[in-house]
Amino acid sequence: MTGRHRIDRALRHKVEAIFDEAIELARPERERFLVVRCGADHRLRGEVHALVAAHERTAGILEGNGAAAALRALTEVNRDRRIGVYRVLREIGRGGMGIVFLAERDDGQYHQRVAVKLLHANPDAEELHQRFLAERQILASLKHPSIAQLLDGGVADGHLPFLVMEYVDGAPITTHCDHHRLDVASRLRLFRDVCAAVHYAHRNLIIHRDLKPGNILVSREGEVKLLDFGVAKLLDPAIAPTIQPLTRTGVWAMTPEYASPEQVRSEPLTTTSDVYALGVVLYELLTGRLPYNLTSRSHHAVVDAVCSQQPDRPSVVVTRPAPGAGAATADSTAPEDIARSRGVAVERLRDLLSGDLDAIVMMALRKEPAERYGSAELLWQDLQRYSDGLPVLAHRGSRLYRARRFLRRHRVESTAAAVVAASLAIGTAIAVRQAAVTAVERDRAERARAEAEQALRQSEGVTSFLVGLYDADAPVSGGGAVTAEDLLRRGAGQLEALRGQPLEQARMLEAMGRVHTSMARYAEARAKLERSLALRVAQLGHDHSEVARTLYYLSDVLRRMGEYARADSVSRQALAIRTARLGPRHPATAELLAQRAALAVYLSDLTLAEALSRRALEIRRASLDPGDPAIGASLAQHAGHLQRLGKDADADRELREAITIHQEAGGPESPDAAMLEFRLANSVVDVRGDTAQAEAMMRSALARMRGALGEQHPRTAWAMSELASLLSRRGKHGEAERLARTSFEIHRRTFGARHVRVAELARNLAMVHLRAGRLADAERVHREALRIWERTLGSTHSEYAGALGTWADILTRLERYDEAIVARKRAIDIRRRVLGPGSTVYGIDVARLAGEYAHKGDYVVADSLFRIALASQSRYVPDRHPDVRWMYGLMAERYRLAGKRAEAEQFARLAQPR
Amino acid sequence: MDEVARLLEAARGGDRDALNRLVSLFYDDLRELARRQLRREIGARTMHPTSLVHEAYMKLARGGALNAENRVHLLAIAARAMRQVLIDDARRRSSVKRSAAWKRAVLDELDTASELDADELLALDGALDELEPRQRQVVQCRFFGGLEEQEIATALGVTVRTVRRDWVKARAWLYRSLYDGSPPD
Repeated sequence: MTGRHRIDRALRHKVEAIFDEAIELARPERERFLVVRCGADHRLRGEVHALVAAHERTAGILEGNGAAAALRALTEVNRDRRIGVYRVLREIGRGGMGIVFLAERDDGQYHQRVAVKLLHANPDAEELHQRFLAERQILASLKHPSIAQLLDGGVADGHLPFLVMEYVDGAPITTHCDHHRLDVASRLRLFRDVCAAVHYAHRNLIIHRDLKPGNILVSREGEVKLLDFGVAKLLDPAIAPTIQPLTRTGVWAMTPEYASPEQVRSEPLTTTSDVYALGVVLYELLTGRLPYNLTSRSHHAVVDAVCSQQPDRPSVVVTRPAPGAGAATADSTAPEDIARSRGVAVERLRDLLSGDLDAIVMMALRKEPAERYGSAELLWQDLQRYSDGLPVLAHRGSRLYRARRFLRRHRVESTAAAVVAASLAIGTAIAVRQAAVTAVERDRAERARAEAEQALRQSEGVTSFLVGLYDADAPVSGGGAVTAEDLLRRGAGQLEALRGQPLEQARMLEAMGRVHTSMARYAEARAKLERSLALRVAQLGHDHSEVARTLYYLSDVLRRMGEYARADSVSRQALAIRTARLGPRHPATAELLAQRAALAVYLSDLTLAEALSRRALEIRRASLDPGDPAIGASLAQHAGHLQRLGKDADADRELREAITIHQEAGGPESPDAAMLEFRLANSVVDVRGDTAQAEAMMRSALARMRGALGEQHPRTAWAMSELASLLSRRGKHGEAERLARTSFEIHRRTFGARHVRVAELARNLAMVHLRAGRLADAERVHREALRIWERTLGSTHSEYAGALGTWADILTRLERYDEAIVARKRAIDIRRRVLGPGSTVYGIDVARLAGEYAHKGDYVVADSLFRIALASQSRYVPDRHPDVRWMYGLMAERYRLAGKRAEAEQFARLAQPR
Repeated sequence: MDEVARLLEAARGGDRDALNRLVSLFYDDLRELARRQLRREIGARTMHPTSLVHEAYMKLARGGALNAENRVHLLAIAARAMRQVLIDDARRRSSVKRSAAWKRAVLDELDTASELDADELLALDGALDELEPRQRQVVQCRFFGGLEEQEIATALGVTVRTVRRDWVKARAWLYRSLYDGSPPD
């Protein structure tokens, strides 16, 4: 080949002389010049022509770096060199960490082909080797078809550490995809294999830390193989600066394009750092570009780009022209080329990427680790959803946003009951801490949390449950706060593990049941508790104290579900067990007595209720410390029963005593005490009609609750709502509405739209609107309350009946009497079915129905209904009861309307408080 | 030292043996220095070819015992030695069969052992010998020696412009030689 163009020196000189001048000229002139200069000498002209033509094509000649290549050649390890038991076949490549060879195991046993990574010499080779030995087991445990396995390691020549890995013959995933012109769908398929491998490693607690196309190879058969898992961790930054971003001159030695913000800031890495890197790779696979244009490799530029710059969305970046010569990255392909290597046109590519894929990629690339996909699996699943045409999760805002929403919606409700509430209140307290805006509020929430934890420690069953779930090694959620949802999920997971241990399972189920209860998921709660019960009965027999405990919780759920009769029978069962095992005077027995007392009210047996709560109180006084909050709880309960029986003075006395106890136990700001003060205030209204004093009391109590629990606590919200009701009755409509609305909002934010508490407060707000005369608002808000009730408790629950009652009130005020009657009748129906015709509330509803007929002008029906109501009431309830008095008042009004003044006066007198 | 100066004189006088002897001296030194540098430096990327050449040169020149003329000559010799290194390597590599797929196995962060095709290098080697001496030297210094235009100008005692024009011509000739009218692509 080279011989043919040998020309003699003289000719060569001539050619060169003309050539020198010719290339200075533009094309057209050049031709003329050549003709002139060469004249008739065709040979000469031909040679010059050829040389000029060659010159125009010399772009590819000698553009490489021969010197560097020579140097590499000089230092290339020779073939057949031995490294450990391996014999070098040839060099594969070089990198920042060292040189990689293809080698063969050479100990006579077998000829396995491996890749040997010879690390550059360093003084700590021995230490590195030791560390490697420690890590090797973990790394070698990664057995996955898509992961190149780490096989061995050692130190060669006394000072050169080396690693032996499975040999992979493949190209980087980006190169492979471009070379085969794979379309988007095929690229995604490959990428999902990558995610699967990464996730497998994460499950084995190994983070890659250095994911990039160079470490993600695809073989000729299209199989994905990941290299260098965990190797980055193995090589301490002090020893191998691949991980260390900066060289001595402050310039990045490694490619930082795939490094996450936390990596760039040298912060600790997590699995989501790998997710980020996967995001960058995905970005590149889809768009042919990298997210950041690094114009320089200086530390400052890199940190700024990775940590602050927002990358363009994939669909946007594929239409941008190639970056200019200033870019340090090698993305110099034009949009048309990018699209072509994905088998589509530019516009089509843009359309393919926009929307779901944009969202998925950007979510993986979020700066905050907690806001990315939590795992490679989640990323992969979302991609799968995209492929299946299902809605993609990345759209629903950031993960943190979703976690926050979770927190708000499923915060565990904090009830007034002692230990149970306290343990569950861990969730509330923590969540409250999150919500607390100022440092002051955070302190308060912190105190509340400390209280709750204190109570928690006293509760053995819950402690072990929560302890089991608060596993330090496996953080629960990215947001940092534990939610009820998290606990339940963990519990469900642990149930599986507890398969062979029924009693442990029973305990877990019980705890889960209680969490469900607090979330108003009564059906699930019941299911869990019944399962727990079954297990315990099977293991322990029918009269074990743990069985009694489960029965207690089960009864609680049943009561909330409105199944009062069943709740009562369950409670009685539990009481029987406790009485038998512990005796009739044990505090645990008292607990059950209190439960039954509460149920008795629902069952309209006020006398029984009072008797039971009195006995519970006596037992507690006898066996507990005088300042024990349980005594306070009993006092409060008994006071309520006394009130219903019209014994107001006694009731007040006990309430005050309860308040004192709570204040002593929990400090002057005790929320329990404050809540009882609300009840006290209400009784002041009921008994004396002194709304002014009641208002003062409520305001003071509310202030204290705000101080103790903060503005956002559900209990504060409840208190606000109570005050709002009072204020609206006093005509202070503006403030009432503000408070009611705020309270409602807080509850809605805390409990989400699916909790009865929210419905209750919506109803209160509706009442406030109603009293203020804002009928349209009242209607609207109450409609929402009804919806919530329908969704949560169902339309046959007795509390729904109450809601229907208020609804009827509103409709009456709107003068839509027919609708009001319909609603009222439905309410009555429910009450009758659930509670029996003797219950007070039933009677009240009937009376109100009578009132509605009266409004319509149908006095005959109204009259007979009134009498029915009164008859049913007085049989069970003493005259002095406020509800009964109210009914008398209604009747008085009705007679007045009918012009029957004598009867009106008579009833009016009966309606007066004593 | 004297030996080097003596060899240089002889080489300039046309003594091929002397030239070869110098080249191989340089070659050995280069290799030794490269190995040492590899052990010292943590990353291959930080190896600087030019500094290596200079180091080898300094070693041979024993820190300036050579006169100006000899210094220049020595640099050129260094480049010659580097060429030799590459050609030897190319010979060795060309004998190792590589599949097309293997060529594509470029590990992203890792450079291949040689970006340069072995067969191309060998052909280049042959074609180089057909060039005018100064053009050949320019190519050697620039491509194999990694020297800058100014350094080459100084080494060869010409202007930068001349170096540039030689470079252009040399490449054109080489192109013709290598591709024989049937260019790649």
